[in-house]
Amino acid sequence: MEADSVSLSAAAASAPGSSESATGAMPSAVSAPETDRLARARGGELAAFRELIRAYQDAVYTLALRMLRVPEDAEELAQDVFVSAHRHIGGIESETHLLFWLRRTVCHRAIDRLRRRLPRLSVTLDSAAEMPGPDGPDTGGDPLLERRLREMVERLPPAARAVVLLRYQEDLDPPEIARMLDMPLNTVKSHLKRSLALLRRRCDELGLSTSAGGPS
Amino acid sequence: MSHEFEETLRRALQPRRPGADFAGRVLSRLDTSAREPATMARLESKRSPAPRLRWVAAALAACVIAAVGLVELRQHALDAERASQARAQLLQALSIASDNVNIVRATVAREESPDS
Amino acid sequence: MRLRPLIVASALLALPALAAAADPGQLALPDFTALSKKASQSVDISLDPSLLRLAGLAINSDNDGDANDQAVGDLVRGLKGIYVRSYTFDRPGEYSKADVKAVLAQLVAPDWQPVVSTHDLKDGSHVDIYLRRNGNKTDGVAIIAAQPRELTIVNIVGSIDLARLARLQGQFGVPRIGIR
Repeated sequence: MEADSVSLSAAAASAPGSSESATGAMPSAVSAPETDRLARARGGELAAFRELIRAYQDAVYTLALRMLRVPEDAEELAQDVFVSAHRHIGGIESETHLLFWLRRTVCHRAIDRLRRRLPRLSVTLDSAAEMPGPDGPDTGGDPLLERRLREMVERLPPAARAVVLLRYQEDLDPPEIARMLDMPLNTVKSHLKRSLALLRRRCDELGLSTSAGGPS
Repeated sequence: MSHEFEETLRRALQPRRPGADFAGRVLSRLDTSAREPATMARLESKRSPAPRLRWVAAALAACVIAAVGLVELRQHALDAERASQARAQLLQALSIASDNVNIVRATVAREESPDS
Repeated sequence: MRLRPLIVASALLALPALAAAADPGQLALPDFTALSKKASQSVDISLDPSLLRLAGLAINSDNDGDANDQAVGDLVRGLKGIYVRSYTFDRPGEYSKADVKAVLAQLVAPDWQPVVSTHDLKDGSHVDIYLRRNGNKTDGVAIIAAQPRELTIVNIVGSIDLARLARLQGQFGVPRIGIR
């Protein structure tokens, strides 16, 4: 499914701040260097596009990784998304719009891929990239609980997984998620409620404490 | 309590980096497609009416070669995808098996512990 | 008669296929479609020898001598199949012993021996491991894990080192559980 060409205008209309960009007013959160690099990238400057890739690669790759669970597939999808973004950069109005477009494209394509995977296999499980290592983030929390939570999120059905990731990884609010995934708001809320309840229950069953004090 | 759980979930979903020089790999894919239009433009400018048939024949031959190459590439990509899927399934299967073997070990260890 | 050699040849050709299908360590897993429909999550993995080979190729071509990949590769070398059926439900009581009866009926002596059977009173889970022995060798492993909201059946065809399998936990692609 090529979500990018069909959804570009929709993404522009739906992206936060899009009303401001449509009228020509610059969103106050975007700094001059950022607008400059997008404008330069639109002008064909690859160095500027490289800056944009570096700015958003973590978000795109992490979304892809937690959706697809296979690092190689996530890398491939992330690359594809940026290549598509380059093709469509002329239609991108702001970096806010770009980020919206990137996240949306990753989610749609990942969900498509997951649905095309071998039948009756709801998830694949390859958490190689999630191994605690020198570059693993020190969140100050319980690493065992957090790892287990990640694995459980990655076992959710594709649509629910996308909703949870967009909410708790990308910090989007439900209306933004609904626009991004072309999903009714109530469905987004339902996915969140059920998924959180399931995750909490599984943590309880495994005896993993979710209180701030750490494991029981 | 709910807020704490959500905060824990946020911490668990911290971003990860792609491999080194990810941007370079994306750009190298762009370079190929960026070069092609320029090449085609040069070919177009040098074209003359008389050898037109030669160009058509060359273009057709190129299409056939490209199509064959694409088919092979696609087959290779499909094989690679099947292998990747099989690997992912293998790791998942081992994960589930390992999980359960360790549940048994933990249960046995608890039962045999002098403090149990 | 000219047909006879043809029939004999056909029978000989069919023998390997018959032998593969009747691998002694492989269980005949029933159709769990009904359970799958009730489950909120289901995992259905069937890796026969050819798929295991593909997986092995992917692992070998993928790593630069990574120790964890090698551990997985070593562990599964020589296996003839791995089959997993795992179902997670929203509520307890969505499956019954009758659902696994057809599997348990195959795990009988003298071919299959129960190695360990555990029952955790805290979470109500039962996990049983069976081995199929062929002289001094093991040619099959069966794990039946029944928890209130999850049923898992694993059948490994061939010989596998259970201790090494357990040690994989937390390493490459094999996440660690929270052992209480």
